[in-house]
Amino acid sequence: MTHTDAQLIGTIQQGGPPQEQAIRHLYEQCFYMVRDGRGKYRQLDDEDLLTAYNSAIIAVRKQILNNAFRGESALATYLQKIFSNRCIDILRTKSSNRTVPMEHIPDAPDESQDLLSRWVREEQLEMVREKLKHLGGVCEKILHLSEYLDYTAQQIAEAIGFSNANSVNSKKYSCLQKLRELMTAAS
Amino acid sequence: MDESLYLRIKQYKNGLLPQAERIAFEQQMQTDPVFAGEVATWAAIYQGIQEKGDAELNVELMGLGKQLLQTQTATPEMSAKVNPEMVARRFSMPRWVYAAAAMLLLLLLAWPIYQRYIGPENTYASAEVLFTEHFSAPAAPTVRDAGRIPWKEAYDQKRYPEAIAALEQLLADTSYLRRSEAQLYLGIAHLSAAQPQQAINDFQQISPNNGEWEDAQWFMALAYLKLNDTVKAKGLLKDIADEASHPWRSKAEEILKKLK
Repeated sequence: MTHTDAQLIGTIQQGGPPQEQAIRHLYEQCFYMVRDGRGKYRQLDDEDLLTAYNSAIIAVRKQILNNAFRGESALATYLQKIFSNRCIDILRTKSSNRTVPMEHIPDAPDESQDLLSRWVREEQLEMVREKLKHLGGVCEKILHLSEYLDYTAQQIAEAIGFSNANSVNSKKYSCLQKLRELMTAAS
Repeated sequence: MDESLYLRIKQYKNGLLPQAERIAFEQQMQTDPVFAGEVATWAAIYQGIQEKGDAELNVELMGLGKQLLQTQTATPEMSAKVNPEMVARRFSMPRWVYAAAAMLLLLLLAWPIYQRYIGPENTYASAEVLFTEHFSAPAAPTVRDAGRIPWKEAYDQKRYPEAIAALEQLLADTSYLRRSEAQLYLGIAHLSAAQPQQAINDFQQISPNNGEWEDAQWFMALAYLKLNDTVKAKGLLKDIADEASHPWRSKAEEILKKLK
């Protein structure tokens, strides 16, 4: 079945397992773009097309979550635009000394590129990437489910086998604190 | 840890902080270095988690994408299971269909022009067309001081059934002397009356030793064309074309060039 834009956007914003399902639906629903891309971007192989498509899906997810996608165009049109741009980016990378005779339409302004992003220093970010690897299984899982996939405490408890939502919440903040301490110790 | 600060950072990042709070947040960031440092650290943590999540999602989607590509490559009909409505909507014709359609269109457009400019000598014609182009009944032979001869009168006036009847009556008379001539014009009259098979029978009665033989050959070849028997027509026409002095030689050669 085809899911409407409203259904997909609403479910993605809902977070948790429904968001994961909606992303999968969107991915499959618009996968024809990859197949069409085989004919349109002949210099790109399947791996390139999938990289471009995945990147576009992730970008759309982000724009839906931070309300940058305002529904001025259909979700598929929006996704197609980003996908085309990603394909062109890869083509340019692959053939840096050749001109790619295609129009590059910029993505919608990414409003997540706010002041906050500019204040975050690259070395801080690099440290977070490094410390996340050493955080440990449960913390890593909780932070991913909670902060990335927007699972509720109850959903996390069910997913990782915690007795109740309260213990998930306290564990989550202790994991964040642990991460912070790892960063402080390293700096 | 300051949980409320972390929540505000998340809200700010996701554009969910009310405008007034957003402005106050940004002002404090610019005026309070300690606050700015704390916010930057937590923002880096949040951003790092997001980046890691993006990377994990990418891995997951890559697996799904490869699976979809494999499924669609192995069994094209399976793509309908993935998303039938979308696949139906996005159905695209194979390239060879477009190529075939383009060729057909080109042929349709070019054919009348080809027909117009191509010389008739280069065109293969049907036997029926060649017959029509080359057959014309010659006038009946005239004999000086001869009186009114019924078959000739009917023949010249294209009253062929009447001419045929008169000629058959003449030939029935075994004492009639100009038999070959009568046989030839009987055949021509049959051919003119659209009776090619009877015409052939008539022409076959004429001996090669007679003066009418060459005309009989020619008209018999035309009779075979009328019957669409191009094999026999060609055989006769080749015989004619091979004889340098045959009166119908050039005509026979012309037809042979046009015959398939």
